[in-house]
Amino acid sequence: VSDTVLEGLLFDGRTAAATPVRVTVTGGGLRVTTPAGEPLHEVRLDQLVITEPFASAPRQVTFAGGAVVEVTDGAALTAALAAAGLRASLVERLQQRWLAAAASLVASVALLVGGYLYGLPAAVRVVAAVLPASAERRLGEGVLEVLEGRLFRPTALSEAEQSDAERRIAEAARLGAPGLQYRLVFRSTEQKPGVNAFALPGGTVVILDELVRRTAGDDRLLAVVGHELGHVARHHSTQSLLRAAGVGAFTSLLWGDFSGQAASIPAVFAMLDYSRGAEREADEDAVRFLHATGRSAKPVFDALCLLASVEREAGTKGLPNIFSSHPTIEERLARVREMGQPREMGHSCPEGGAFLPADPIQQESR
Amino acid sequence: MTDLAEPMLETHPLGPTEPAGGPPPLEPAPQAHNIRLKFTGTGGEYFRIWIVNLLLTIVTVGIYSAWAKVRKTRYFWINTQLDGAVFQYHGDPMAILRGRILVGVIFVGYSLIGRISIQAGIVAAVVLGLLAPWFFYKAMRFKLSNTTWRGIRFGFDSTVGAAYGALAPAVILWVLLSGVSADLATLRPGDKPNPVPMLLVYGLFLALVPLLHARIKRYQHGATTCGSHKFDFEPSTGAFYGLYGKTFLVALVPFVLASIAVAVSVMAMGKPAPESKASFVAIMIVSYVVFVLAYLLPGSYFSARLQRLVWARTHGGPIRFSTSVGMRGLMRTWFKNGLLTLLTLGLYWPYAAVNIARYQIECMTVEAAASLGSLAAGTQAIEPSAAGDGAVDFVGWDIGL
Repeated sequence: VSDTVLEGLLFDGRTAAATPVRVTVTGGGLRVTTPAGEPLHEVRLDQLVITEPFASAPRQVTFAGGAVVEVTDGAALTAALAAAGLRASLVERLQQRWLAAAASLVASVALLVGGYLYGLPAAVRVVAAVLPASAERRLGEGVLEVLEGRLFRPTALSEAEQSDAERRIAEAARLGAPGLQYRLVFRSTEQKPGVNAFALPGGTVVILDELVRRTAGDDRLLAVVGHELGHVARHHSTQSLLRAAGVGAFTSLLWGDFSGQAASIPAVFAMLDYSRGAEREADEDAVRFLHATGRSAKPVFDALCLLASVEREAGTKGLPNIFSSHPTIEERLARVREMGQPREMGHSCPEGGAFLPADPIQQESR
Repeated sequence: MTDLAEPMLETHPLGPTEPAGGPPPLEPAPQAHNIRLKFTGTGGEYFRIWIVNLLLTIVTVGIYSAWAKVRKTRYFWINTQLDGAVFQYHGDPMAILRGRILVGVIFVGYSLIGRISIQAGIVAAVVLGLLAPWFFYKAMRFKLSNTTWRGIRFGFDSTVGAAYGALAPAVILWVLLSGVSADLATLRPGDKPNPVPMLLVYGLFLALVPLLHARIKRYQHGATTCGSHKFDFEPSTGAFYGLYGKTFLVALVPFVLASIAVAVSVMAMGKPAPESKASFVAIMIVSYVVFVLAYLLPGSYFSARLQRLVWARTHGGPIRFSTSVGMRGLMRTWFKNGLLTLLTLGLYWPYAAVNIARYQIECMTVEAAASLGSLAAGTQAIEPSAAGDGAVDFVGWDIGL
């Protein structure tokens, strides 16, 4: 087997002058000589310091003392080194093969999709569970601060209306959600429909004026609060906020936008968008909440009907929700009826009409 | 990712001035000669590098991104040829990883603060603005001192003080902008915003952008060294004002046309019925396409003219630069590659990066009235910290060109 001889340029590291040299790959090493054959440098293959192989780029060998030899035909050098038994690294071999590239593509997509669907929610559940209550409350205060003025206005309820609602909720919560820390905040909004309530991280429940007015004197208010306290007990809003923050951080990495304020607003609105499973759990909690206070599940059913009908009154404002993944009102009503006494509730809302496709409890978040 | 587009334009100026007691003068060349830059990378090869980098970055939860950056940069550098020799990138992945972790902690803290309280977020934004010149200085040093050509190391001959001096007006404006945003963000419902300070600051900002840009470029190119030879950048504030002014005029035409097109398409649809997803989607698509086209024209005009402006004014003694980058060529390259990247859901991106780099690199010419072989090595040390490098990567700040 004859040794491979290649053309190269030697740079001494002191000036940019180029000296033409010959590079020979022998059985155990690499030798640099002048074109006339005088030896200049020699190195054993297992001590070779060489740049990565690429298809059409030169390769550079660095010698002790800072001299660099640039071999113009990098591919020929790679072949000679391989023939002499020098193996490329795993990554180098991966990036030389189309099959490996295709496999990498499939694996990357699978990991990204899987991470979003399973990894992120799991991580967020763990973090939300270990997060100290004080940190959750601070998150909630931050969310409220962002929403004040953007979505919320001061309440127009009288002191008497507020304390009456507070008293009824406190009585029910003593039995329905014993030991759960929560705080009621009354606000109004110009958004339609204004019949609504929200759970924020740390146990703050925002109740809108219209909800109190439209449910005056009946248990639908308790049903809605029971639903929100379900979100509180299960840390749903903390999880949503963390999930949005995780996606936000990832996309920020991709697009490099770290302006804190601009990033916080979409995150807060995304927080109010619960998953299908979270809404269902909170509905079930609302039924259990009412059962614990000796009431039936019917107010939950009626509250859903109320929310559906006010949303219909308000009409679908704004952009159509193309990517809605929320449970339909039919699904939610069916589940509530299943948990209670089906005969009490009937098959549709008393106001009649078709059910709306969107989840009214979250309508304000759009 | 933006530095991909110009993997070498920003870092490889060569040439001497005569620092006192300094380096040997360049040997005169037999005759002045023009050397074109050559790019030998291919989309297919970079695609494989990119996808393996992506997979390993995901699998290692981001840790590999430091190695990925080095592999990517090496690929673009070593496929760039000047006068028969290639560039080489020596960035140490461990240093880059340490820099990224440090900067990651700072930025995650910043973004969390912004979520918890708007006021605290604004204070954090001001602090980051004050750190920016230091990051910029460190990033330039790291990038250039880790680049060699023919065994000669590039460098960034400056000090932290000089960086703060050069970037001071930009930092002051950033602090003012943050203050105005703080004022807006803390408004309570029903409060009337006072528009005067906001308009003043935004007006000042717009009026000073060309000046700031000229200062940054002058600082960047004026402190760059190749071996012992230092570069110079001619004062060019007037040229930058001219560039921004002309770009504004170029932008006006498609902007007016785009607005008319969108208005017509909205009217043609009639009042958009909220239930009608089709009309909504149609309007979205029309507006999007029109605005992309409206961006492409002034965007490519600005970028092409900027590259010409900057390279025509960068020189070191007998070594000068020029680029034949043109608006039409750039627009064609961006449009074709951007469209294919969109249509392939991003899979064409590595091909696009290679195509854009090739176009810009092969437009470059080095005009040498001296023998490049007589460039001597300098005495500057390699910058060991990649904190600044991590920071500019994080915010996507293009320190290129």
